[in-house]
Amino acid sequence: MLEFDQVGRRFGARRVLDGVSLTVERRQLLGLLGRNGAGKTTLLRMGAGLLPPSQGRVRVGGVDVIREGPRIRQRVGYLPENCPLYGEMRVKEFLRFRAGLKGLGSGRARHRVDEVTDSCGLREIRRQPIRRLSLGFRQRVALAEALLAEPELLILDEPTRGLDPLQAGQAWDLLRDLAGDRAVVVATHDLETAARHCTHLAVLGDGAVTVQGRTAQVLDPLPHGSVVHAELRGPERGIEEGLAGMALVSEIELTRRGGWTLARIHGVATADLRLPVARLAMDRGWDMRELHLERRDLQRLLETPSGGAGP
Amino acid sequence: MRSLGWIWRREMGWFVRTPAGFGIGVLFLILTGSSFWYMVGQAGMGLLGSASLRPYLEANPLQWVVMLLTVPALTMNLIAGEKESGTIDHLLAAPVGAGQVVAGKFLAALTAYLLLWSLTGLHLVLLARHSSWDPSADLGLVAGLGTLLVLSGLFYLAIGTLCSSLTSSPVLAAVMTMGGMCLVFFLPFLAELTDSRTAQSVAAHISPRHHAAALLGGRLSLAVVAYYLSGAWLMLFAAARALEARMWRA
Repeated sequence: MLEFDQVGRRFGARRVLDGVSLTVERRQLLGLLGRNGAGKTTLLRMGAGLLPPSQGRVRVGGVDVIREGPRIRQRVGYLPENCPLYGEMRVKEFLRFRAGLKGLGSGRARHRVDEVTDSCGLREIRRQPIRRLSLGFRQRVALAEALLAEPELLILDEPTRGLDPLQAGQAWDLLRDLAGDRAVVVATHDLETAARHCTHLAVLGDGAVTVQGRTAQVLDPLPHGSVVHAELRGPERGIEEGLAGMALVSEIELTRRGGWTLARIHGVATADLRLPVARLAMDRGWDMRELHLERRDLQRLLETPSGGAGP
Repeated sequence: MRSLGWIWRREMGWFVRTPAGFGIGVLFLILTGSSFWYMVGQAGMGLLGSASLRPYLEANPLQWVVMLLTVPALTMNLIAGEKESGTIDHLLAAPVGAGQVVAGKFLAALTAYLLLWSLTGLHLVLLARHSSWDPSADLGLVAGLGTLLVLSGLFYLAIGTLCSSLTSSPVLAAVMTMGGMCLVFFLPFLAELTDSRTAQSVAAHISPRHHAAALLGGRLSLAVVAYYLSGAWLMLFAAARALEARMWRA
């Protein structure tokens, strides 16, 4: 649906993006992660046809977004960062105005305005001037606007900024629903939430996509060996010897805390050691209160140029 | 065309409903009221004893001040305001071209400008009722004045629209518009001061002062119309290109 093909962008001498290749298909909810200044907004603006790439191509549905600008923009819903809206307009009036700009006929525009007003929870405030709304409601108005023309591709830059946790959760639920029959790209700083809701993740760093793929693949770097965390209670020496003697274990790290042994167990290659560790604990009669596969540190994904990937 | 209509409506809403739009109306009425007051004040010197308004219109410097302040106020926010508030991206993300955006906004400014000037018709009604002015003798003058206001408004508002598209600061856009209008108005004066016949001939063709005199004298020539319309078209074309170029730079 949306394809960035070796896309680069310079602003004067400053290179912001270099050789970015990324594809978003229908029914994908892609979380675009990256530090401030990583180029997320630049990439999204290019996807929305607002900014041409200095190199490479951006296509929506196989069509070049710059060459076919207005036609493409009809198929794309774009929510810019900070949701800039016309403060003097009332919510319903603004949505009607945007529906008109998007080429919706009078009847369909009225119908769609009513639909998005309901789906985004704006019915109560539809007659209020936008300048009087809280940031959360403004964000919802901007989201409703992006949905007006039932776009095949939704590009949203920080759509949950300013929303309280409940509202943010509802917005993410809505985005997941929307991704059921279209492609949705969301730039966000909320790493944990993105990991929980997005079907795919891509991390921008140093002007390029450092990590991308299905969320589970991005977070569980099994190709480089798995790591299991366990909290066990039992004889300290027995635990150390027992874990070290397990098959497929390459390394163990143990720390003591309040009578419990915190074990970090490195597996060889793609081995998932959770079941063997659980069996060992049962056999030896150890108490166990925690056992999980270590997921890639999301923060580290953003902090290192390689996205935290590595052996 | 429908998109253009929606942009026009939104812009008219801004003029009608915001304090800034209201302030522009108040500023205009104060300026035109002062101009009218100045004209009536001259009546005390016996000038209004004349049956024609021609001496007052030709000798009233406030008319130019009204244009110089009103046009930048009407256009400063058109595009620069959108850039300043960040709404321009959202606007351009809709399936509309830069030309439609510029045209819609310009037409809204022109509508507001014409509505404001139409309010000054009250001045003529007052003069007709309470002075020795004979409207029937000045029909050509009034028609020429109306044509001048429309044609010069088209041109100056287009200059304002261009200036507004070149910056993200509405205040700077206003200053640039004033500068542009002064340039258009006073540059021909400089040309007239030279000894060059060519320069003087060119000055005669591009001088708004000459065109105003011709229109107020009841002489509507194709050259005058072409001057204002082609000037306005050129400015609007440049404004649309500037808005498109912003996309490639931003």
